[in-house]
Amino acid sequence: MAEPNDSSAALTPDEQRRLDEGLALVLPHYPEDRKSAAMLPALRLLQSIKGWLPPQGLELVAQRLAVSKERAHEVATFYAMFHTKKPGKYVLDVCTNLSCSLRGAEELLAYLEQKLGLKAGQSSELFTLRETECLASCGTAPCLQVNEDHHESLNRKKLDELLSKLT
Amino acid sequence: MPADGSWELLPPDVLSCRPVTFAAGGSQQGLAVVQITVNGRTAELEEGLSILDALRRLGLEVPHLCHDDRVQAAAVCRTCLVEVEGEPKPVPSCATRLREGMVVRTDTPALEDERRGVLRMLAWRYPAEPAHRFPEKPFHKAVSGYGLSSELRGMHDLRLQDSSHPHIQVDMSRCIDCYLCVRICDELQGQFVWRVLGRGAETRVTPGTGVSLLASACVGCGACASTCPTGALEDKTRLEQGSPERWTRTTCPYCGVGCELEVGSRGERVVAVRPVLDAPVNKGHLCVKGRYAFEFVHADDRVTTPMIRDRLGWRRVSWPEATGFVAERLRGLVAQYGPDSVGVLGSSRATNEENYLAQKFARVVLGTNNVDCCARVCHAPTAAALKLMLGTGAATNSFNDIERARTLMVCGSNTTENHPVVGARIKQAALRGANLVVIDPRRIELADYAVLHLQHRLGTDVALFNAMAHTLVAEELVDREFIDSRVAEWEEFQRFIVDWTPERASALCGVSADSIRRAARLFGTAKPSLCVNGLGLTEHSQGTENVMCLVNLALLTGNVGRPGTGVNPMRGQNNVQGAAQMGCEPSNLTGFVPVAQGREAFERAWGAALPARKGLDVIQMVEAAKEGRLKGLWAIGYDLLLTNPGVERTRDALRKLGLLIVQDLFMNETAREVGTVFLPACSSFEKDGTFMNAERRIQRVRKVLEPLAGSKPDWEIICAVARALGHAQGFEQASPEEIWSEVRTVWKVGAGIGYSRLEQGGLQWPCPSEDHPGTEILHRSSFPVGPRAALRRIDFKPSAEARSAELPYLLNTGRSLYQFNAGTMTLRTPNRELRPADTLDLSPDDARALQLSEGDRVRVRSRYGEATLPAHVSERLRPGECFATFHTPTARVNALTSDERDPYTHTPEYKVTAVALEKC
Repeated sequence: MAEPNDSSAALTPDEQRRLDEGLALVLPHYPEDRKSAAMLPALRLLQSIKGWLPPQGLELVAQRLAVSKERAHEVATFYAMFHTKKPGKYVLDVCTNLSCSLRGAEELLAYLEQKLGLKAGQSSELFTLRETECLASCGTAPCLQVNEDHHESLNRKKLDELLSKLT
Repeated sequence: MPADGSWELLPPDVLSCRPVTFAAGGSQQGLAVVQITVNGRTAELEEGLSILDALRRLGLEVPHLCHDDRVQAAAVCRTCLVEVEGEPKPVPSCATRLREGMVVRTDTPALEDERRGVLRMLAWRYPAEPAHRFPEKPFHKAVSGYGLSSELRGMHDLRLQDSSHPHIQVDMSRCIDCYLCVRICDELQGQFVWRVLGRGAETRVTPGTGVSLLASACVGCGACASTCPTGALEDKTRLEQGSPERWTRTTCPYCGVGCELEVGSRGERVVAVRPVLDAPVNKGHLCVKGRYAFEFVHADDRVTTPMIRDRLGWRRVSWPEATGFVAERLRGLVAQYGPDSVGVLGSSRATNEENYLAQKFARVVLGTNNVDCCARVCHAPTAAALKLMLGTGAATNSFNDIERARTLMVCGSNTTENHPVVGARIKQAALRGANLVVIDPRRIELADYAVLHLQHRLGTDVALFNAMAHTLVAEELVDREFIDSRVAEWEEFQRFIVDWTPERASALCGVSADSIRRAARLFGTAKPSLCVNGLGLTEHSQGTENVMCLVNLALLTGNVGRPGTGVNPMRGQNNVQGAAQMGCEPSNLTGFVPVAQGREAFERAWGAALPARKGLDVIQMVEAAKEGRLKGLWAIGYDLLLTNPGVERTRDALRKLGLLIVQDLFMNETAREVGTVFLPACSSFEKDGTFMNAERRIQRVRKVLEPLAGSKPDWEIICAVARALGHAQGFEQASPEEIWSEVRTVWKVGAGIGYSRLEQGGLQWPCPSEDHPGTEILHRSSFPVGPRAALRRIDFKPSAEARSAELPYLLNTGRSLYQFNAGTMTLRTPNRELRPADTLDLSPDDARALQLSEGDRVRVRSRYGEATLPAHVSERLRPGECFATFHTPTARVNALTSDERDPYTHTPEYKVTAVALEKC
């Protein structure tokens, strides 16, 4: 897991430039004195560039939106899909809400934990495994999400195929 | 209960917290009334109140955990729910406004179940021990009130504890997510320390991004601890010394803001301080000094016996021996060298009553006008400028005008550190959209919130203000109507100011001409505009003229005598305005009446002959001591040695005195080095009286504790010495109230301010009669100097303390947040952990050039002396200029300061000294 002083947490000049170019497209949608309202698109932009929201990036976004870095941190930590710690290359979000549970989500999660050697909430270089709330795919339960893609009507066999593709 | 089924209203002021708004007035007059029905009975209440406000007015209690009148309603705790007819679900009473005809129920079984359910969920994760230990906390009361004490099942989590801060203990195992700490830090103080991270069950309330409280931006105001309903945030003193047994309302002993405190004591010990919620000045807020810096009262080194110094050193003596000795020596000096061979210094730490007696003692008993106070080294130039130009030497307006102004111009005042509660009000006004203009050689905290910061060179204020006046005139932004009716010498001023172009000023003060113009335009057009000024204007060789230039700007734009305007000095100490107003001034009697003008009337009132000879001020007294003309001095609550300019010079002069009586709580540096008699006084927590704040408000000081055995209130000491001198007449008062009654007979503008009225709250003079409401805003229709006030034509005179090859830096001196003046009080409290040492602040550029890093020792040398301080590298300084505080006896920063002074008032030029810096 990345520490704040990890070199990968720092933004390269190129990444910084991409962030500013992106912000230049976002900010005109907001009034000049209400830049802080662009917090969510700005954080998504940062995550699309870095893969997560490192402290230095949050500070930069806060500066560009004229708010404190603590404010950016508050918003970032509120949303599960923002990563304030460096995640694995693939983030596996396993739904364990009602429909998925009825269709065996908990067994699938246990299988994944055993197979990846990770507990839900932990990360390796390659994977972050998390238990998540409803993914709005109850008709095709159980469901998990890899980064931003849904994988539906899962069973062990399908999971094995999915993992072999990812590794 | 009346028989007609309607509610009887409690008056608003019986509420523990009246709705507090920083907005104008807060008066409820003129609001429409709505009729509502509560639990089947009707009531009429002001429109705009919340249901919760209304219930409290009706004497009905509903539990609430996330509400505090000092912040906006958030409605997150769901315990103050009530049923309102027509609403599908219960509504939070804190966030729902009254409507005409509203039918409210507070007591149905369904509501009680709902409240119990919410409390039960909180109880299950809350530890039982604190609920038993501190039953008075609102959450603990609610839990036991709903019979849930046995369901407290949470665990203390050590990882959620933080003891880093010297004043505030944090235990987030007890957090119930009400967010009151977050909201009060944002909305009252404006520090934005407490943040909410995560969400749902993972929510964590933490300082900053998860650092310790000490490492965060916290300024220790304690607002969070005062509002926390559980004690997750708690004053350490209460944890260590127990909850108070009684609370006494009094006035803060620190700066001139004059916050009202409730002091909690247990036995003969102060254990906590909390703000008075409906105080007009602080409105439920306090700062780190007022709230937490009280332990000096119980310091081990409080002096408790009078002492006389002889060849062998200090000798403890009884009070009768000490007063007898003082009387005999004073009598001897007056007999041998005449009355003007002795002098008295009153104290801004003492009450109005005591200062009144001090100057009366000097004039009546000793027969000299040699009487002064520390206003001399502080705001005397502001008082002089305002007196000369407008006629009253005090703030023209009130703190409530801060919220009425559209433009706030803060000049030479680091308000958030030195007057923190007013600083917070200015910050909140700026956050709400007022235009804040900061004029200061340092980028002070307020500059971060300002639309414009003019960071001029030290000592160039006159040039800057003149260029602003030029812009106002040249761009026709002046208020012609006001000038035509109320201003004199307009033609002459116009001719004079032509030459003061922003370009000319820019070259002198280092601020761009464009910025000067923008500041002038804001001040002249976004009205009403209010000026706040601090010692950054007064402690200069042109101190009085600096303030005069500021008054010019106010007069030109009609920003005088109206709400949200004026020139408002931030008086440095609790009662510095009062000390001078009571007559501790060589040329003025009580009420700032010149001696020549008022002598006969005062002779009649006091039944004694008064001296007509001109008296010496404190600066002249030190000089006279040096030359052997002054033989005896009585310094009440004033550490001359540390605070007057030039420690060496002061010491050498005072050493020549045959008699130096020091009256203080502690053996201060003056006493230690050159004192001959020490009289132990008690603190303002140990006596009654009144203080006068910076906005002319007189407020009660009430005795919390008996004086520490052996010490006495200043007034008793003065009376005892007068009696020992055979002058019992006029010094026989039995209480401060009796002294005050006498003050009211000689000070007509304060005649209406009696102790009984002060029980209802402070009053602002002028208040000439019992039925007068007091005066919030001076000069509404004319000035004491006449119908018109004259503009002053003032040329810029550079300070004699100029940079040179040998002395290439300019030193500025001042105070800071955690310490106060010579540190006599604050250094004896845990505040010393927050700021243990004076520092020399300098810009990163200068630090690089001198190869200095943070904390390196720097030798600072001026033409007058030397001091060694640790360096603090700060972006807030201009290159070439440095800043030091003067709080600690060891650093002795005033060894460096010069003999330069303001010609009108003799106020020393503490703000500009040419120095050399050198790494040790």
